[in-house]
Amino acid sequence: MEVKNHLRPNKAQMEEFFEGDTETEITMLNLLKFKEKAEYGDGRETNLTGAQAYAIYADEVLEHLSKVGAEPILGGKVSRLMLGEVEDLWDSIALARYPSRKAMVEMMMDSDYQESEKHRSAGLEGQLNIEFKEGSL
Amino acid sequence: MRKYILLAVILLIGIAFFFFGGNTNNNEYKVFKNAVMPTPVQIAGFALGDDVPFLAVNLLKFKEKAEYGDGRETNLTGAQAYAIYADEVLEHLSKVGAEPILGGGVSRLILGEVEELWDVVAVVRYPNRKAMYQMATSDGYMESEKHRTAGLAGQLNIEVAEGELDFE
Repeated sequence: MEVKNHLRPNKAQMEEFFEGDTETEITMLNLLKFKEKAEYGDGRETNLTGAQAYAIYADEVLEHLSKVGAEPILGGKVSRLMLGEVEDLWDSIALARYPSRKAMVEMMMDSDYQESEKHRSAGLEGQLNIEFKEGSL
Repeated sequence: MRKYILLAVILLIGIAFFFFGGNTNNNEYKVFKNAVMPTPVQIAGFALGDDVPFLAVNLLKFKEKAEYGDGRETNLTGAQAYAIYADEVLEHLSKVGAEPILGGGVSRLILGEVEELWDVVAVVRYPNRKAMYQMATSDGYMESEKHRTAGLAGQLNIEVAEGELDFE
């Protein structure tokens, strides 16, 4: 089986934000892979590692999440794979809960968020972001 | 009218994403494989490392129809057989001081590509690796586990050292 990390949603994935159930709570599981060295889109000089640049984003995003009623749940560094095989294991995971798909779009469209997002794309090589609906285990 | 607003919004988001970074996407397809049982190296890993709590992030893919190891007849789907395990495992978890945190059915992939998307995400916190090993090798657990293997096509289980969303 194959898997590919991305930095941005593709067209179909963008459209899905407006389709189906756009109003009820969703949870996101982010599987993150960082660049070795951060690379900013504006070409600025930096000594930051990818993880360090992403940490700036992770810090700033807390406020953006809270503005749309979303919250970080938990996260941390991947230490190993206990089951299965992955050619290129992710570095970190992060879980966040959003009130709706609509709220997530609202956050992404906010110009302050887009400013913080520069650190995300500077540090992040790519990721999976899995949307799920919390229920009983 | 609504359709045009929607299109305009989609277009705007497209433009927004274009301006976000400008970095090219260097990612390539990587191979992964779900599994039902750990490899000997993965089992040995339970004896190593620090005595600290960790999260187990389970990405689960179910069989269409349940298949029991003892060949018994069943009309259960894979998800239904796994649900029996998921119910019974709560007690096994609690015996070793572990707790389920959250979980639920996968609705879609927002970012990235996966050849076959998982059905369910489940996150569990264990007090340490030894506790998980202790649970997995107890008689009671192994009885419940028959429902797990009956229902599960395969999974990834990612061990995470929990931090306060600190990525450095």
